[in-house]
This record gives sequence, C-alpha cells and structure tokens, in this order.
Amino acid sequence: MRNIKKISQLFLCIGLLSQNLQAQKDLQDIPKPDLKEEQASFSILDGFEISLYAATPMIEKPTQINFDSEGRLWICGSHIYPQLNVNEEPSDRIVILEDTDNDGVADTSSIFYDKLIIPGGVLPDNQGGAYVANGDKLIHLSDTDGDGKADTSEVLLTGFGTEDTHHTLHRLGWGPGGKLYMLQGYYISSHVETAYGTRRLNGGGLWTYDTDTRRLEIFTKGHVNPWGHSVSYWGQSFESDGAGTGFGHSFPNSVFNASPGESQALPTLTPKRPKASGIEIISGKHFPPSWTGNIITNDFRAHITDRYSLEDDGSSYKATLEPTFLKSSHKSFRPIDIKMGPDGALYVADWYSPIIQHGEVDFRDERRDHQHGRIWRITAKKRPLVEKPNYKESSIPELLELLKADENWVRLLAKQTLKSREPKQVLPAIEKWLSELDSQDPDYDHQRLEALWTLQTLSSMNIDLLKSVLQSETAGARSAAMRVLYYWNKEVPDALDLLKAAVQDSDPSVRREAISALSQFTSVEAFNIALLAYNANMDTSYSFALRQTCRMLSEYWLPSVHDGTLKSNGNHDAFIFALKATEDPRATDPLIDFFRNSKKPDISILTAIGSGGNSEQLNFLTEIASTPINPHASNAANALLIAAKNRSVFPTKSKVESLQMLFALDDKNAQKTACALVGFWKSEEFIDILKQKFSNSNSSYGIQQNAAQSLAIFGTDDIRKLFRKIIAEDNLISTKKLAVSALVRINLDEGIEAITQVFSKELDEGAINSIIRTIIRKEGAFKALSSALERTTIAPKTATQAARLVQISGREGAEELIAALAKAGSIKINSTDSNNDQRNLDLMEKLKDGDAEKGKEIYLRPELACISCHKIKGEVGLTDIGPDLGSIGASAPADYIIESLIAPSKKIKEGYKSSAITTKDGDFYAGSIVFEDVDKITIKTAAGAEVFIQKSNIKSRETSQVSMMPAGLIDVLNESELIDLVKYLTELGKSQ
Amino acid sequence: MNSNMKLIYNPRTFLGVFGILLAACTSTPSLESIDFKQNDKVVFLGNAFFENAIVNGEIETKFSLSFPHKNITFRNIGWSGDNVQAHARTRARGGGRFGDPDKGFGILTKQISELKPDKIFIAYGFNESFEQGLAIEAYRKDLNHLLDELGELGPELILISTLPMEKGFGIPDEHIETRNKELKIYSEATKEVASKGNHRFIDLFTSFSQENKYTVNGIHLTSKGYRKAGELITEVLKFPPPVTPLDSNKADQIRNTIIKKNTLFFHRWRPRNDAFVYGERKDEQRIAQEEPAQIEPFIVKQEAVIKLLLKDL
Repeated sequence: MRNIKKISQLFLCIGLLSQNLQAQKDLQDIPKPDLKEEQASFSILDGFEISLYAATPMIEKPTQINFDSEGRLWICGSHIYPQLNVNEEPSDRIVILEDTDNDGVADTSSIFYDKLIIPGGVLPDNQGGAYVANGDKLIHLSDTDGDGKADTSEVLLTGFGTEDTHHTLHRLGWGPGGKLYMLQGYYISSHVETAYGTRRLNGGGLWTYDTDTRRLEIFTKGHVNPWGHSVSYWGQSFESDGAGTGFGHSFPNSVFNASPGESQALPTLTPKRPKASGIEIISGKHFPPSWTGNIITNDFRAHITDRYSLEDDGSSYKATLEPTFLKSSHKSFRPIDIKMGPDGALYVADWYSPIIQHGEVDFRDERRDHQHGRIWRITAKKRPLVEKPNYKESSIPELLELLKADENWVRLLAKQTLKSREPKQVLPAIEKWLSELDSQDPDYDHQRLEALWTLQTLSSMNIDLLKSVLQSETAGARSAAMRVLYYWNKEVPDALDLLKAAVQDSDPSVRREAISALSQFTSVEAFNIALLAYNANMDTSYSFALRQTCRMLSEYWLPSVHDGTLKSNGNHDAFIFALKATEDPRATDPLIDFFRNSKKPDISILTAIGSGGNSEQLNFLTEIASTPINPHASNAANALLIAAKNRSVFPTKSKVESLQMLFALDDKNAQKTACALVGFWKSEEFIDILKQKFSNSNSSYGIQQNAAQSLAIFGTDDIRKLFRKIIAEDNLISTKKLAVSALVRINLDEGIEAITQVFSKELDEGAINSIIRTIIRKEGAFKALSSALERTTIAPKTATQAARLVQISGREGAEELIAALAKAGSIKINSTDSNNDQRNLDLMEKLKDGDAEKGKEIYLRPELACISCHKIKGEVGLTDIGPDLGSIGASAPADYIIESLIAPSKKIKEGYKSSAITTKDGDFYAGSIVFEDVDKITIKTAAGAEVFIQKSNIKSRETSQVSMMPAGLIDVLNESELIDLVKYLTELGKSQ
Repeated sequence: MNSNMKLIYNPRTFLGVFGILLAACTSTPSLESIDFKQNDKVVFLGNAFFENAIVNGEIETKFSLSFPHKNITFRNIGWSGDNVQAHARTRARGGGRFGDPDKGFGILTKQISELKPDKIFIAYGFNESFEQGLAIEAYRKDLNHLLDELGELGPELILISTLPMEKGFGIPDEHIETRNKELKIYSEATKEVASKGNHRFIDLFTSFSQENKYTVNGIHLTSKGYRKAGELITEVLKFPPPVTPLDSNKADQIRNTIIKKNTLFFHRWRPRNDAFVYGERKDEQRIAQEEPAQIEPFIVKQEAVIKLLLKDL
C-alpha cells in the first residue's frame, strides 16, 4: 500500500498528460495481426493439422459461418461492432468464399450484401439467396438476376430486441426437419408479430421458424449468451453458452439458467466448464471414427477449441472433456464459430481481437480490432478428405441415396435440395426409395427417419411413415419420430394413442419426447397420459419435461380437479408432482386433501401450501402444528413461516394452540420457528417466553436470534430494558449483537448508543458484520452513527472492518460514516484514488516481473478475502457471489484486471451489478438479483444471504453504482505482492 | 315503458342527449377534411403497421406531397408487437433487468409529451386480437385509457383500423378465416371507440381485400400496400391531391430523404445497445450514452433537405 501510494503521488502531476500515452502503451501489448505469427501460435492434438483457409481482406470479422450446397462458405461479419457510429451508413457484409481448386484455401471472395448493422447470422437458402439475422429483423436476401449479389431484401420478421448487440438475433441453422433455428441472448426483449400470434421472449432462447408456414415458436428459453446450436445424428439439440457454463442438451420447453420469470432451470452438461462459443458435432469419414458424435466447442476466452465425448445418460447425456484439441498462445485468436465443411474438415471462425468484452471495455476503445478476421481449417493427417456431392446435378433418387451418407451436413443439404425439387416427383420417389431399403442394414432405422425428416422439410405429412418409424428398434429413431409428432400434433388423427404407448416406452429419452409432445395437446386426456410417464426415479431432464407439460396443460386439467371430475385414480405421487409443478394457488386445496388422506404423506406438500396457500388453507398447517405428537408439526411450522415471511399471509385459526405445542416440543427447530412466528403473528401472549428464550444462555443461537427479532417487533419498554441490560452486563458477544440489532430496529437513538458502547471493546468479525448489516438496513442510521462516533473511540480493527462494509452498501451518507469510523478508530482509509490511470500504467509496466506462483499464494490468503466471493473453475472459493475467475486472464486485458482490483465499481461484470432495494418496512438490501418474476424478487446480498422480497413491499429500487466487491481489499499488499497477484490472475485460463 | 318515460322527462339526460346530437351534427370529425397548420408535428403510433412504414416512407411521402408548404414534421414511433398498453415499449429502466410490462405505458406517454405532437395517428388492435376470452372488452377499455391520456397532452387523435389478413404465404386458409373474423371485431371496436370519443377513424379493413397481394407475409404491408394505405387515409381525411405524382422522380427523391430521416430517428430513440444507452448497463459506457443525442443535428439536416425539395413543388 505504501509503495503504491508513493508512486501514484509521483505521477500525480502528469496524470492528465498520460491519458493518451496509456492507450499507446497498452497497444504495445497488442499482437500484430500477423498471420504467420498466429499460425505459429497453435498447438494441436497429434494427428491433426491446422491451416489458413481465408483472412481479411477476403472476409469481414466473422460472426457466423455456414456452407451452402455448392460448398461455398457464407460468412456474415461486422466491422461496426459493438456500436454503429453517429450517422454511419450500415455497411456490414455477407461474403461468399469459394475454394475452386480444392486445395483447402479459399481463392475467391465476393460480397453478397453490404448494408447490414452487426448481423448475427447467415444461412444460405441453397438457391442463391440467404436468411440473415440483422438486429431487430430476420430478412431474406435473394439474387434474382444471378450476378452473385443480393438485389432483393425481404423482411420476414421484425421486433427482435436490440438492447445488447452481442445478444441480438444470431446463429441461424437448419434443423433436421427443415425448420430454421435461431438464437437470442440475455438482455433482449423480443415482440414479434406473426400470423399465428405475437411472440414475446424476454432473455435468451432458441427460436424455430418455419419458412413455409411462417410460423415462429420458442423452442427453449434461457442461457445467457447462447452462441451456438448444433443437432446430433438422432436430431437432438445442443446449445453452447458464451457466458454461462459450456453447453447443454435442449428439448422442447426446456429452460436454462437466467430466463426471466422462470422458477426452475436445467443444468448444462458441463456445469463447471467455461463459456463456450459455437458448437459442432463431428460426423463423416474424414475424422477418426472414434470421434463421430463428439462435440467440439470453443473456449474463446482461453484461445482453446475443446472436444467432449457424449454418452447416453437416462433421458439425456453425459459429457466428458477430452484432451485439448487446439490451443493458441496468440492473444487475438478468438474462435467463435465452428463448422464441418464440404470436404469433411473442420472450419474455425476466428473473430480476431484482443478485446472480447462487450460492455466492460468501452465501445470506442482503440484496442478493439475492427478489421481482421480469419477462417482456419483443421484436417486429420493421413486421412482422405470427403468427396463433395454435386447436389444441383443430382437426380431425385440420387439425392435420396445421399440420405444414407455418414456426413450430417450431406444429409441436411440433400433434404434442402429435395425441397427445391417438384414435390409431385419427390413424394413418390420417397415411397419408392423406402420400399427398396434393406431392412438388414444397420442404418435402416436412421434411413427411414431421414425419409420422415425429408417429408417434414417438404411440409408434407405421412402418418403411416411416422407410425412405422415410431416402431423402430433403435430408440434414437423412436424419440426423433416423437419430436416430429410434437410438431404435427393434432394433425395426426390418433396421436394420443401413439403417445400413450410412447410414455410407456422402454427408453427414457422416447418417454421424455412423448411428454414434451403432449404439451401441444389442449386436453385433460393429454395430461392423464403424461402422468403415466411419472415414476419415482425420474432423471433431471425427464422430470423437467414432465413439469413443463403439467404446467402448460394446467389450464385444462386443474379446473377439472376442482370440480371433482378429475381424480388421481391411485396414481397419487404423480398427481402430487403435477399439482406442485403448477405453482398455482388452485392446486393447494387438492394438495391438502392428498396430505390429509395419505397414511405416509409427502412432506413437501406442506412447503407447497406455505408457498401458495391463502389464510384458510394455512389453517390446515396450524391444525397439524397444534395436534399433540404430530410428527409433521415442525414441518408445518416451517411452512407457516414461509407464508408469513415471504408473503405476509397468516392463518386465522389455532395460532395460540400451535405455538404452545411447538414451544412444548423438545425440538430446537420447532422452537426456533415458533420464536419467529410469534413476531410475525404478533402473538403477545408469548412475549415472556421469548424473553426467557432470548436471555437463556443455553438457548441455541438460532432461537435467540428469532426471539430477538420477534421481540423487536413488539418493542415495548420492558423489551428495550431487557436489551439494554443484556448489552450492559457481561454476556456473550453473540447475544449482545442480537440485542444491539434489535434495539436499532426499535429505537434508533438507543440502538446507536448501544453500538458505540459495544464498539468500544474488541469485537470479532461476525459481530461487526451483523451490527453494520443492521444499520445498513435502517434508514437514517448512517447519519446517527456518524455523529455518535464523534464522541468515542473504537478499535482500529473494528473501524476497518466496519468501514469496508459501509462502503459496499452504497448507501447515502456512507462517506461521512467511513470518515467518522476512521477518526474514531484512528485509521487511514484509502479513498478512491483519482489517479488510478497512472497507477495502472505503472503496474502494467512492471507486470512482466510478476511471479504467478507467489500471486496464487497471495490470492489464497483468507484476509484478502478473494476466496470469500470468487471461485476458480467452480472450485477453491467459498461462494459464488462474484464471477468465476477461472479464465479471467484469458478474457480480460491486464489493465482491466488491475482496475477491477483497485476500483471495483468502475467495471462491473454483467449480471453482477448490484441493486439497492428499500422496502416499505424501511429495510435496505444491496446485492445481486438472482431471481425475479412479476411479483417477487430474490436478492443475494454481499454477505451471501439470499433475501426474498415481495415486489408489493418494495418502496424504491435502483441499480447500485457500487460493486459488491469492496474497494481497498488490496491495500494490505505492497506493490510487488500486488504485481504477483495481478500476474497470477492474468495467467488464469491461459494454460490448462 | 316506465324507464323510457323517465328518460324523456329527466331534463339532465335530455340535455345530455341533445348535446351529443348537437355535437354530432355540427362537428363530426370524420366528415370534415383535416386541417394542418404551419409547422404541425405528426406522430405515427402503433404496432408493426407503423414501424414497418419507417423503411418505405410511403405514407409520409403522401402526406408531405399533399401539404408541401406546411413544413409538417413526422415522427414514427411504431413498435412491433405493441398493444394499447404499450407493453412492447417496456424496457429495463432504473434497476430492473427487464422492464415491468406495465412500465411501457409510462415510457410512451413521456415520449409523447416530449415530442409535443399536434396530431397522432394511432394503429393498434392486431396484437390484441390474439387474446382469448373477454379481450375485446379489455381492448376497448385500454384504448379509451390511451386516448384519454394522450388527449390530455392536447393533440388531435386519428384512429386507424386493423388490416385483414391476406391469403397465401403457406398459411392455412381456415386459420386466415378465423383471424379475419377476429380482426374485423377489433376494427369495429376501434371504430366504435373513435366515434364515442369524437375522434376520426380510418377504416382500412373493408378497403383492403383479402385476395390482393399487398402484404409481404399475409399480415404486414409491402411498399405497394403502404402506398394504398396512404391513399386511403388521405382520401378519408380529404387531403388535397399530391402536388406531384407519387411515382415521379421528385417524389422518389423526397421519399428517399424521408426514409433516411426516419432511419436516423430510429437510431436516435431505439439505438442498438439500448441497455448501455438508456438501460440497466448505462453506467458502463459513457460514450454510448452521448452518441444518440449527436444524431439529432443529422435529423434536422435531413428535414431541411425535405423542406427544400418540397419548396420547389
């Protein structure tokens, strides 16, 4: 701290002059866009090689790549990103590359269209045109005169949100049944008008668009930056997340992390892995056979392309990371998309930039690269390339034969080409092709599935074929056919019979698909069939699918439960599952009936009643709690507390009896809950018991805590006297701090006086935290404490710790209080330095001498508190209050890291911005919003506690300008220690 | 019978009825030609009907060519997916990650009060028409609410009906038939609300055939469709004929400048990276926040060009 201070003072006088210098200095750290240097930076797994396919000026900075049926590579890209300049004409481009002499290097490049603003996706239509994601619009560009340039632009859909340009509509691709899939990311609110209804999507999601019927639907929701989607041999979807955790397995109605208003989300298949951009599934003869079905995705922050093997796991998959496939030491290599090409090689789109952050680095930061982009090509050594079919010249029967190809893209392009042929000829040809298939061929099931997908692509329906594929021996074919039924749904006459059979299939993935398909039927019958799929050992994806279907169909079946026309017919567990899944108040009465009538009732029903029941329904819980020797009394009390605390809903009957019974139980949890309920219910009869529980040193801390909080609600003279007595006498500090907090709530002046009294002695960290948290929540307390401190002295340690907590609160009056604490504790507080730029610059220069090993030791020091809030690749840290730092070094430039350490509030990672909420009760909470829907919010405070708040109880709410990370954490380090720490952080994620 | 008697002899009711009749006789707005004053400001408000008009400028060109010397300025604030509650305008402001659906209305009225229009052309009903149950009642109520709120700001309000769906585009015929029944109900409800509130109403529903190809996808108009819509609107409002044909070179020049101006305005009020410009992440980017305002002079410049081009006519 001393050293740094001195140095920054030294530079103080030239601080302003150095602004420009800094940018230049930093630029020295930026590698030259030298292709040979970048090529030399690669290390690739044995047996493979990487070479350049194309680079600027042949291409734009790529955002997506896609091959067409002629083997040409379509690239959309952006030099405008991240933001259009004032009065700038749209000029981002779609470029088409071709390798006419098949030497693995693109030799022609033509601009197809150049009037776009940060396009996120391009998908050739294989007839000379392309679909393009252009911000708020999905457009179709055609080349009507065949000169290789788009001359007509048709707007297909408008109304996609544009709040954040790395989240806007992107990554277009064909599904196996011919639908166009496309993605949007977090921060986007879309309102798209279609002929079938207005589609609204907040947050991330995967859309499907039918180019024939113009139907747009939401396929899955969630993921933060879903930057990749790929479909497997059997038609299952995988999405990679560029801001979340690797990639996940998506199916209809699935929801992943960070979807607004959704109360549950599925985990990804790689929960501890870093962000992933682009995803491709290996197929075809060029790659080694053992690689078929493997997933390739890019850790664009660490300059790595990774490979995962997949294996079936219940109704979903398990992914295993294989040895690193491709790695680069080049700071600007940013693999963001990956596709298998017509020759069977892998093509990697390299965004090429040292800066990848969208918001954290200024939009106009000079270090952002706006010019360069590369396409790299990876081949397997000594393995022949794949022949490229001539789709255009192929006859319909020849195209159908291509449906037997090993290469996923060949089968897809064959179907796309068949779509452009005369349906009157294609349909009978399919019939003929099917009849001539060899039923002994090991791929027979898949070939018939391809025929079904072809019909789907042609928007043609063949129910007999669907039924026959549903009878396939291979489970993958049956589950893929189920997905077709999901789309055809009511058009299939005896669909529900087929679904009834499928929910009892021997394979869990077929059953999961059937459950999802049932969500498309609008009847009680569909719900009853879905319940047949219930069992006690459902895996996560399976049970999620069932939950979603129960919820989506609830408007049909829930009323029937109410009017008594729908009964569980012995399938109690399934029925309870469905009722709980709805999270609908109408489900509470039936749940009560189940609990009442069951010999071995499901305890979770009580929680559901507490979470959703009205006053009358809560009486069922007091009925249990007040019954002598009821084994569920404690659980019922917990549920009552949920209702009181989260929703302010109270029972009307048997409150006193319940409390009497709970206090009589020899059960600490029941007693603790009872102490809290007394306060919420304002049951004055129990004040004496609370006093007794609080004063008794044998009471558990939890009991004392709840008793103190409840006593504070009553706040009588007697109670205040008791608290003052506890503080004055020789009691445990843990009891004293509870008394102090309670006093603050009852009477600010008395509370503040108590604080100064307690602060005058040595205190442990926990006590200081608890007291400061109390005053943070109380309006006016900062000011009162500031003036009270003028008359007293406190321990330096107390002052330091308290000041730190006050600072992160971001509350009005924080600065004054910090100053008062510093004065009373005779300490110096490092106020935010106006000369950070200079200090950063200085540290940057010395960084090369840093020692990452030493830095790691420093990082782990408990007093530095890094590990209190940050994990590294899901490990090391104690909580995940702050972002995972597993690849911070790979994603963030060193100056960003330094600035974040010194002045955490200057750059706050997206999703970690804290909100400040004041409730109508006068409570104040600062933290990150972890869940929010129409009427409630869960905020995670800097102390790690999750607080649940009803929106109706919020008085004001604002985004805090202050990071949850306290400033000055690193003040305890000397300069060389700080350099070592930064060095360590800049290395994170760069090597494996 | 009794109640009828009461009605007739209650002097207050009698006066009230008389008053309405009188008003209807003297100033039925739909029968009179609309009057534009010098420097009038016009706002186009609604769903994608107006938003999509930004890129072809047809309606605005038609207006401008009918009143070339009135120096009318136009702001198109149509928003895809929007409804009379302005839900699509909801944006994350002041701490929320996603705007509360109910906040859209406040954002809209604030914007209107800043734009200070003299006339607002309002086209809603398409998105509402998908709602089930008693939605038509909600539409009437919410439309009235919108008109009341906007009316308080002073401008003249002109309502535009829904459009019928066109056949084709791979959309099943039965679906289109059902939809057109719904859309007609909403067109009629809009008419009724307009007439009760003494606002002008433009019926596009009856005039747009369901067979002709005036749409790009069955629901949204082509440029040709917008030209027709522009003609129908000006016909109802009894605009003077355009001073130059809509397909003349001069009109093209004006239309292109209008499109350019509209596009600039779009980037001004709905810039990309809204989250960083106006929304939740705005503290992260200083320059991003400053830039949209810098578009303003370029809009003014394009408007000067339009004025100049119109002056010569």
